[in-house]
Amino acid sequence: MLPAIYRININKLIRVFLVLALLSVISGCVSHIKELREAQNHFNSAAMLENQLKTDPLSGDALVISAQANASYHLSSKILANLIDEKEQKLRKDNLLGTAYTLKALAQWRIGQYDDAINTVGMAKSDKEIKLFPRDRALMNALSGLIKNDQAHGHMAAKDYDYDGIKRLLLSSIEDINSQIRGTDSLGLYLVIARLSVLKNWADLRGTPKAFTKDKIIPSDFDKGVEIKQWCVYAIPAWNEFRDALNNVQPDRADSISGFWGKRLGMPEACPNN
Amino acid sequence: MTGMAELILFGIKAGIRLAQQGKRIYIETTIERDLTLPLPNFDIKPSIGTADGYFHGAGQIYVDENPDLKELYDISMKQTREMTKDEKRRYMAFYVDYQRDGNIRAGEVDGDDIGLSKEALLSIVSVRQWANRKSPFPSPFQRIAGTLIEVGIDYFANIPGAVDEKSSTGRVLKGFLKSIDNIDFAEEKVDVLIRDLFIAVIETIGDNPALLNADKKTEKLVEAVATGLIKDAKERIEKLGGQDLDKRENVQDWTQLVLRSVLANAGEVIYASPGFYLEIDDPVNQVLVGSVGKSVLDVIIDSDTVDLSKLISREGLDTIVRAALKTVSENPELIGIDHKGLTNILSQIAIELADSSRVLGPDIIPEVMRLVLEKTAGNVEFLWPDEFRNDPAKHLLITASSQLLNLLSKTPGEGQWALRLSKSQVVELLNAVLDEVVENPGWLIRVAGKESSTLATAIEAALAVLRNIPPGRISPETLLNVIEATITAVALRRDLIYEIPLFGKQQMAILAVLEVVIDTIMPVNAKPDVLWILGRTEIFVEIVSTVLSRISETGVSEEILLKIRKALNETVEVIAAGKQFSLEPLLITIENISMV
Repeated sequence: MLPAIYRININKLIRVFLVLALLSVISGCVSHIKELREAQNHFNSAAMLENQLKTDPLSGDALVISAQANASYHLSSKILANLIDEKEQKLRKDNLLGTAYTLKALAQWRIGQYDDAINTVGMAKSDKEIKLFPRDRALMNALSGLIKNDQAHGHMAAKDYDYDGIKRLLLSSIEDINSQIRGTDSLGLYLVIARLSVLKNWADLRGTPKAFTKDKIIPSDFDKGVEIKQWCVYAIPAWNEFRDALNNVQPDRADSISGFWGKRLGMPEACPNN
Repeated sequence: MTGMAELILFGIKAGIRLAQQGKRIYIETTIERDLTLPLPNFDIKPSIGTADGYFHGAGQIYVDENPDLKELYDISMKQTREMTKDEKRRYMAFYVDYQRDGNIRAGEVDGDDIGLSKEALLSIVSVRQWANRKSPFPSPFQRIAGTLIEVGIDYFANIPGAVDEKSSTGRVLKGFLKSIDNIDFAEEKVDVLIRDLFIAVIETIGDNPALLNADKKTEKLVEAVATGLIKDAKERIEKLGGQDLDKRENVQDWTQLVLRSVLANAGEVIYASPGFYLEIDDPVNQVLVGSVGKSVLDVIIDSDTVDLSKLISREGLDTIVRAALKTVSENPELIGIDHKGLTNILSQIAIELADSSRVLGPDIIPEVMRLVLEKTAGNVEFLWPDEFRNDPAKHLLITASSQLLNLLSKTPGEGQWALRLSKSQVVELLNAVLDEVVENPGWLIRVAGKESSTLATAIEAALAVLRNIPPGRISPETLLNVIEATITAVALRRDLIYEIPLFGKQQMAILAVLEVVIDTIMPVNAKPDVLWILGRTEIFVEIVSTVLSRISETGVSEEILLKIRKALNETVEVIAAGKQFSLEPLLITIENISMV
C-alpha cells in the first residue's frame, strides 16, 4: 500500500493524463473543421448582407454593404481554397470535403468567378469518393442555373448582350433550377424563389426590349403580348409551386414573402388563367 | 479488487472514446449547419415588364376604364416609341396603385411593400442540410449520453470486481450487461429501450426470489434472453425508421415487459428443467432460450388479426411465457430450425381465436395459448407432426381449441339464450377437450357426411338440447358439466354421434338421449316442485352423467330410451306428488337399464 501522499499524486496524475489525452485527441484533429466553420461563417454573413440589400434596399448604405459582402465572400473562398489544398485528406476522411467544395463553388459564384465555380462543381462531382449530403448535392446541381441567371442579369445591366441571348440564358437557368426543385427537401423554397428571381429578370427584359437590341430597333414580328403569354407558361407553374412551398412557412412570413414576389412579378394577375 | 493499472487504462479508454464522440459531434454539426444562401441577382423594383404583365392580364379592366393608363399601356405594349421618364414614372405609379387596390379588394392586407421582413427572408435563405427530422446523425446529446452508457457498461462488464459476481444481483446484471456490450449507443437510437430494459432487470431481480439463487448458468440465461430480445427490438425500431413514435413506444414497452416476464419465470423453469436450461453453455441452447422471449414478443407486436398488445395483461403475458419456457424446455425442436415454431403456434392461436375472443373475452387468449403449449409438451410429434411444422393450422390442439371456442361463442339462435360461461369455465372445458384430443386425435376427424368433426358434432348436439331449456333454469356450471359428460360418453362410444332410426325418424343418438332426459325432467311446463329438486345443478348433472355413462355402455335404441324416460317419469311423479325423493334409487335404476 502506497503512503497517502503518493496516492494523491497518482490521482492527480490520472486526471492530468486524462485531460492530456482528451486535448491531444481534440486539438490535433479538428483544425480543418474549425477552418471550414470559419469559412461558413464568412459566407453566411456575406449572404445575409447581400440578401438584405436585395430585398430591402433602404436598410443601409448599399455600397458599403455590398463591399462588406464581397470581402466576406472573397475571404471565405480563400480560406476554402487553402483548406482544400492543404487538408484535403482530413476533410475527405471526415466526410467534409463535399461540404467544403460546395461552399467554395458558392463563394466563387458570388464573386463572379463563374467558370471557377463550375470547375469546382465538376471536380467535386467527378471524385466518386466524395460524400455529398442532400443540400450540398442539390446546390451543386442547381448552381449552373443560378450562375446563368446572374450572367443574364449582368448582361442586362451592361447592355452588352442582345435580347435573344439574355432570354436564352434565363430560360436555360429556369430549366437547370427546375431539374433540382423536386429532388430536394430542405432547398425547395430557396430554389422556388430563385426561379421567381429569374422570372423577374425576364419580365424586366421583355418590358424594355429596345434596350437590348442593336440600334434600339426591335424586329417587326416582336409582340409583347406573345412574350407575356410565353412568360406565363413558365410563371404559372412557378407561382403555383411557390404558393405550395409557402404552406410550410409560418403564415405571417408566408404572407410577407408572397406579397413581396406578387408585386415584383405582377402575379398572379399577370397570368389570369392561373 | 480493481487494480490501479486497470483503472488508469479504463480512464484513458473512456476519455479517448468521449473525445472521439466529441469530434464526431463537431463534424456532424458542421455538416448539418444552416447555410445562408444568397438570392440570385434581380432588381427589387417592379419594372415596366411587371406592369405590362399586370395590365395585360387581370389588370386589363383598369386599362379599359382609365384613358391615361390606356395611352401609356399602348405605348409600352406596341413599342411604337420609347416611353419618356415621366411616362415610365406615371405608368409604374398606376401599376403600384391598382395592384394595391386589387389586393385590398381581394382582402389581402397590404402595407408598405419596400422589403421583406428579416424573419421572412430567413425562411427563404436559411437552409438546412436535411429537412426537419431527416438528419441521419444522432443528436449531440444522444452521442454523449450513448457514449457515457457504453463507458458505464464497459466498466461494469470488464472491470473485475465492479460488479460482485458472487452475488445473485451481480450475476444477473452481468448477464444483461454482456448482452448489450456490442451495442453502439451513440449510433443506434436504442438508448431509451436499453434504459428501460436495464431497469426491468434490476426490478425483476428484486421481485423474484428464484433469481436470488442465481449462478453462472443464470447469468448465461439472462444474457441469452436479453440478447435475443434486444436484437429483435432493435431491428423493429430501425425498421420503423423514425416514422412512427407510437409503434416505437409499443415495441419498447413490450420488450421490457417480455424481458421482465421471462426473467421472472425463468428461475422457476430453470430448476424444473435442468436438462435443458442448465446446459445453457451450449450456444445452440442459448439461441433457443433467446428465441422464447423473441417469439412471444413477435406474436404480441406482429399479430395482424388481433391487437394482442392491447389485450394481454402482465398476468396474461406471464401465463404465456411460463408455458412457452416449459414447453420449449421439454421440446426444444418446437422452436424450429428457423426459430419460428413457437411464434407460429402462438400466432395461429391468435388468428383462430380472433372472433371468439370478442365474445368470450380477450383474456381467454393467453389461457388457450398456455393450454395448447402445455399439452403440446411431450406430444409434439403426435400433435404437430414434422411434415406440418410449417403450417400451425394443422396443430391438432389449435384446431380443437378453435372448434370448441367457436361453438361456445356462436351467436344464439332466435329464442335461444347466450351461454355466459366464465373464463375459468371455458378454460376448464377446453382443458377437458384438449385432454381428450391428446388421448385420441380421432376427435378431429370429420364425421362421414358432415362438415363437422366428432368433437364439434358432440358439443353442438349438447348445446342444441341445452339451449332448448327455457332461460334461467340451468346454470353455466350445469351446462359445462353436461358438455363434459357428453364428450366423455362420445369418447367411449363414437357411434353416439351417428344418426339412427328412432321412433320413425333419423336422429343423432346422443341428441335423442339428451332430449329424453331434458324433456322429461325439465319440460317447458315443468312443475315448480319438480324443477326445485331436479333442476339443482348437482342432481341434474348427476342424472345426465349417469344416463350418458350408461348409454355409452349399452348404445342407444328405442327400448333404452323408453326405459330411461320411464325411470325419470316415475321420479318426476314422486316429486310432483309431494312424496319423499331420493336420488340414489333413480341412479341405480339407470345404471341397470339394459337391452332385454
